[in-house]
Amino acid sequence: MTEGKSREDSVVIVPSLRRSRPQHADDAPATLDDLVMRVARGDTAAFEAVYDRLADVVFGVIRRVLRDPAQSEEVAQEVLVEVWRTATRFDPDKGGASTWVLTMAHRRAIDRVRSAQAAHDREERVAHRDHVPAFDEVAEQVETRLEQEQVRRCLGNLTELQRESVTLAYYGGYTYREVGELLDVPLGTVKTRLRDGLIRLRDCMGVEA
Amino acid sequence: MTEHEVHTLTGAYAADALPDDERRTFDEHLEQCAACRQEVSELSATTARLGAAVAEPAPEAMRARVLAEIANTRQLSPVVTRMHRRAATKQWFRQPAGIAASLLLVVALGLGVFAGVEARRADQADERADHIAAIFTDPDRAQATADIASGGSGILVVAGPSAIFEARGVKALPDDRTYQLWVIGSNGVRSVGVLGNADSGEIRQFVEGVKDTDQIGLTVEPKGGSDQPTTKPVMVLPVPA
Repeated sequence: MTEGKSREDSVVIVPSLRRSRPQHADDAPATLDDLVMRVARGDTAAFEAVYDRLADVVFGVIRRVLRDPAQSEEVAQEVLVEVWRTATRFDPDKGGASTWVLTMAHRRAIDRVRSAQAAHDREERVAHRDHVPAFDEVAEQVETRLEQEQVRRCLGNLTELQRESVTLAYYGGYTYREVGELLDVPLGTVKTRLRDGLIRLRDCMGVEA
Repeated sequence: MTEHEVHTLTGAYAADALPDDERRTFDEHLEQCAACRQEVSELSATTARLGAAVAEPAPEAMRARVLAEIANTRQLSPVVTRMHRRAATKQWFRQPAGIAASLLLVVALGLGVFAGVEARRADQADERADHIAAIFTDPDRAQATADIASGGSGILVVAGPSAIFEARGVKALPDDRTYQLWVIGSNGVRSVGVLGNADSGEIRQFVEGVKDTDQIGLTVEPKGGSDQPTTKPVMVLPVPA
């Protein structure tokens, strides 16, 4: 990509874009953060590389929440286009690119779940507990499909209530109020179990923000 | 809700398990709470790992569709940084000095910070921040100021069809009254914002779809706002060309 210096002077650029000039050896593989910062400058080849690295996880997490493959594909497509559109706002100081993209993907899936009609349907489902997949079923599907050994192991380190709360909220796409309803525990308990569970997962996986 | 109770919401927030209204409330809390932001950031990185663990092959046809769509999609303008904002401010000071320039500086800093915070949120806020950045960086932007009859002064910064109105030193209204902003054009008057009673003394509002033949008017209305102005404007500002 060539850029005239005079042009650059007149263009407002966030510092992260300036920092994104390659600082490592030319043959080092580009990190995802680097790629997204190149996407921010309109680099479509970089976007293709980002797509190839993230399309499966974006689709996977959305499908986990929505189940329906056609809807999941629709939302995944929206999210990936959104990565292109908003790459200019990505700031690596606030977290890595994969967190940025996955947060967006999960949020979009949740938005879809909570759209007006869906909200109505879910209320019905919560009201008629028989139609809600039992927690064990959700957990089993999740756990048999977890591709990362570490995540499975770390989920296994949680107390049962922590694991149920985290799994139903994140993979099931339920609000903490619905999780409380499903597990028949007070709301305050769900909130603290969600937080404690995620903190324990964070420590187990060695996550740094 | 006590401070401690609010703090426990970081987990539900990171898991997207807060109902929308509670999410908005917590978003506001996050702006005040650096420790919460740090924790949310770490827990979001954690939930992202949970997400990455359930990858499954994306439909092959999706790739071509996404690539075709991005070819037709404009990217958002980057957020203006502090450094660049200062540079822009200098330019403004070279323009006719006085209250307008200093007021504009306050507007720029206030909205710029606002833009930075907002940019971390979802789309709608993203677009709004985008609009602010676009207005303040547009080389063709124009501005106009006017006094408010009941106290304070207002400034309008316009770039193309978008504008930002801000007023300071505004007289606070009783609880059952609100300020309301209007665009007065050749086709009539339309409301562009019910602004509350200004108990902070400040008003700030985005305005879309203005023309340089329009005027911006500020009136005092019953709480909740009116369909059309019911009082004489306390301020009228011609939209600058």
